Amino acid sequence: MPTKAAMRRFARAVRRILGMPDYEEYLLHLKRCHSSDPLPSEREFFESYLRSRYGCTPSRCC
Amino acid sequence: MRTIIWLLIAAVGAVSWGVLALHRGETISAAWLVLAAVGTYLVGYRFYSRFLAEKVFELDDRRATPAERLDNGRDYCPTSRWVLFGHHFAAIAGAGPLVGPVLAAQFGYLPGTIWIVFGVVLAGAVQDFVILFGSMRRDGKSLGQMAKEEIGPVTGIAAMIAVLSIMIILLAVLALIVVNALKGSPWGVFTIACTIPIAVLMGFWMKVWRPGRTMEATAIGIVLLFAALLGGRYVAENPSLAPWFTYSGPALAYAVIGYGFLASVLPVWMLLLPRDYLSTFMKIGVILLMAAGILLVLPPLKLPALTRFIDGTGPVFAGKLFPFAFITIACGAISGFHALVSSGTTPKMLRREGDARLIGYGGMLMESFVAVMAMAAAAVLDPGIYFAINAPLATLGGTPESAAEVIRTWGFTVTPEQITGLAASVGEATLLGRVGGAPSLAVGMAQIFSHAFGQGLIALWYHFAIMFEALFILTVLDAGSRVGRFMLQELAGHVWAPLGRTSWYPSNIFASALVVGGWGYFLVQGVLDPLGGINSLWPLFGISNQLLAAVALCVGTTLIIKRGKARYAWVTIVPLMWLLAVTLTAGWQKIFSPDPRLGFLSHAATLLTQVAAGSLEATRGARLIFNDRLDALLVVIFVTVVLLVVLSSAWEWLQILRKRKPAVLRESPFVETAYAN
Repeated sequence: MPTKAAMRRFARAVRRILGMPDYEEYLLHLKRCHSSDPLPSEREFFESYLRSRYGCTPSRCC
Repeated sequence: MRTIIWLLIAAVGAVSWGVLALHRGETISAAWLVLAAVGTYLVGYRFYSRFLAEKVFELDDRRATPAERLDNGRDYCPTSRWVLFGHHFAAIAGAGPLVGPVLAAQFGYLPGTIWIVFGVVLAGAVQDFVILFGSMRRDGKSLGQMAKEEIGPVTGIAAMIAVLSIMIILLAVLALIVVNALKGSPWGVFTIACTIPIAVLMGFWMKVWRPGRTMEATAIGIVLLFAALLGGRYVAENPSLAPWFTYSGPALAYAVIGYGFLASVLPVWMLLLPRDYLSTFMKIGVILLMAAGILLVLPPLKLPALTRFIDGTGPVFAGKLFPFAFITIACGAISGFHALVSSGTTPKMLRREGDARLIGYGGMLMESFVAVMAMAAAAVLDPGIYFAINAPLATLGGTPESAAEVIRTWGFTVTPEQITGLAASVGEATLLGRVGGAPSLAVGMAQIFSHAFGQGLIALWYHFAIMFEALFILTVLDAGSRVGRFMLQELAGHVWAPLGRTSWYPSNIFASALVVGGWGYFLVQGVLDPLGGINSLWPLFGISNQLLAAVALCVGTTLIIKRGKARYAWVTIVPLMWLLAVTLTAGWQKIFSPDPRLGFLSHAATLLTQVAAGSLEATRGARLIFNDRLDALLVVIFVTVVLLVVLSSAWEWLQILRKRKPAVLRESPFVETAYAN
């Protein structure tokens, strides 16, 4: 039986590989490094991810 | 003990190469192909990449990476090495390594395989590694920025123009492959058409209904995708529905162009992002499935090791083994495009410097293995079938009987019944003259899959393979048009500032229309070309991709020399010389060869005499002649841009080596890592 932590690790790996945003990871980062800032909602985080993902350099090959 | 194991691996690799090279006239197992490749990769990774990492780049695990120093929890984010390996591999693998080997199989499986395997160890993986290394030491700067800062502003702009023009040709070729795979195929068209509403649904799910829930949306999308695949069979078999989804090449070409334009101007979350997830997931899934299939079945290779077409008379594309085998297979052996990925998202995610070896060098070995598998999938086909699918319709004549007759004159036997039987078994009206590589790859994959995972599903496997190829090619089309649009806007911004604002709608529409119109023009040219288009466009793509690799290797060499490692600069200079030899020869032949099958200008001259003699209608002739001249001009532009980059780099190297100029390296300063190693 995979534990809950293992499942979460797996989901995180899949997100990274597919290049998906990781809200939980981001919250952890904010708590670690900028603990005084207000936390963005999942919707706000997704918006900022969309803006940063499709910039000027191609991220995929032929 | 270790020495013995490595000697053993080297011996297995060498023996496998011997078997591959010496067997003639009888079929051998694909196992030898796999063993030869994997043995060579292991030795290359263990020894050569270690030499690069330790002696040339001096990777230092005590030095903090950009991911550690600039960690923002999003794009800069330390990632464990195997997860990052998956991410990087998913970004570099695409249609290139799958299609190139299938086309180059017209020379037989051996030349292509040698180039794929040794090319990657000595050139392709080195390029990816050096660019990843350079970008990692510069906070994740792009190839263009590195070219500008380390060599000079002219080189930077030249690199940017090279990237933009390569993108246009690349997108046109990829779109042409999709069109050729889907024309007259209601099953394929239905499945692919369904991916658009599926993507929009996923987009609304992630953005509006359940914001940020990308995994949920992707899971739903995948289920719907398979439903669409099954639905396609129903549509194709239903006489009242099938005509709604049966289209000619030109009609599909205009549909793809319209789609590309929409995808470029619509918000990304609506179409591009969901398709990106779906196609990445499918890509990794199918590649794993293909590896499992080949390893389980170990199918016999029916294609000869070498065919008579090494003399340049092949029907799939014109030109001799040298240089065209090395042009046709771009992505599996060395691909300039990877330099864009290696200086994109990946360098911002490396946790330790040492990981760059596995990800840069190892990731490219993996891509090369995909190319070897594609070669194996093409080689399991009967040679007669291979040529029936891949030779242009104009050469084969319109019927299975005429095709069988033409193929017989090439020395391969195939009966008309075999040709029609195969098409019927995969649920298509015809497979004749489906140039572009995707259909023959799908047939090969379907045969392997149905052997490995159950007979009788061959039609389903075929359309599964077609769906997978079309899905990720169309995703590259979306993403590429968008990137092309941004680049064009940046260039145009130098001329008139408002054009450079990427959020200004008129500028968006203008730049999108230019980019889509650019690749759309070449796509239509390819679709209307009597020889099927792949003939002229694929070599253009190969030349441009290899020339971009030359630009990347120039940047890499500059970095190595500036680090004071000039005695090791051969690691990038030798591949650079080889690439220049290959691409300049190919470029010269494509422009000036007196053989009208090969040279653009002599082809135009032939058309001119046909028009004069009245055997070719004047307006159609004028258009074909214009296209030939345009293609020739494009080659001239590619070659000029790259010679400019090479000469300006070489000048810089000489200045530094003669101490006329200080070697100023623009690396970010050393910061000690906080991680325990």
